[in-house]
Amino acid sequence: MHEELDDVALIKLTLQGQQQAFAGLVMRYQQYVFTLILRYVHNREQAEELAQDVFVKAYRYLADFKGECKFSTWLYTIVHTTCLSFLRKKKEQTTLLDNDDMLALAGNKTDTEKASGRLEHKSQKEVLAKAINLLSETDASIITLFYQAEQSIEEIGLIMGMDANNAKVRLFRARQKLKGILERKYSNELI
Amino acid sequence: MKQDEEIEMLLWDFIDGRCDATEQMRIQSLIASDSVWKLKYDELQSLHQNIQPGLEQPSMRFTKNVMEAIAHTQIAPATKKYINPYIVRGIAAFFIISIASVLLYALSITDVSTASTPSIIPFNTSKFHFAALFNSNTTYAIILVNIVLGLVLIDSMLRRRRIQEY
Repeated sequence: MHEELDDVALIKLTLQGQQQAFAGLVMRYQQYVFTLILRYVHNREQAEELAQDVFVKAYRYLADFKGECKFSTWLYTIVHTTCLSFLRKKKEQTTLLDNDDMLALAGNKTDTEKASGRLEHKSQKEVLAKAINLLSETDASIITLFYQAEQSIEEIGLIMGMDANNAKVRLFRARQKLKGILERKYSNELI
Repeated sequence: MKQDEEIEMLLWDFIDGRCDATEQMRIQSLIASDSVWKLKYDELQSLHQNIQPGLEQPSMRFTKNVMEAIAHTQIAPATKKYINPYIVRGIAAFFIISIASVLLYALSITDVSTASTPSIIPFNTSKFHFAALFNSNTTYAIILVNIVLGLVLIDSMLRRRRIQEY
């Protein structure tokens, strides 16, 4: 029954005391939240724990959601702040590839290398997942938010606490790095 | 390299549908007429279409775990805006009254008749008996008003803090 209701209706029911309505929101967004958190922590157990924390926080502060943005945007903002707090505490080492590293890896990048155009469909998702894991958390999150969670650049800026222009530039850089990784590191796995 | 980046940036705007109609037509004609633009566009469009990373799936029990966690959780009441305009106005009123009182008192004890330069005040201030205005009762009344305002402000701040803690 709850699958047919939109986010606003489910939120309204939850605020009226029907806790089970919140399960509808959890089921709708659990994969997106979990995938996004994995971009930050790279560990499934930790990601699941954090995802649970995110939904508990979202439930606790549901009354603060005023509908000024999409519920998904509000939820992903909680994901972003929760992950940043977690990483600050953990001080994890993440693999970062900045532009200089990318160029070093790429070597003599030629314009005729069209790795993305030659992706074999079957391994495409695996290759992409590996490539995205090599990006920084911010870049990986931006790619996920844009392509997976279908957030606009303005919404991404809102989630990550930057203005829309900055978000647009970050997305551009993330795409550049991803293209470089696909062309250089995974060209052997491509047909 | 920079020109390359500029072309890429414009093409991404085009692919994402963020260009206005004029810019869209301009880029379309560049793609049709310029081989560099066409090559770049094909590359980026291909990458754009292929970036569809799969969604990761949490454990089967995930929803159940979340619902168990929230079973004993209360939804917090909506927090009010951090800045209360009434408090800001109250503080402003408090300071304006204090500053005005000090200025008027300073004027009242100033003897302008002995001034060597003409007064900049356009009217004859000697006709006004400021000292009579600021007898001890008036001063006490102003101080009392300020104290009451201050207490009202402290009370509303403490009340808000208590609500936020809840």
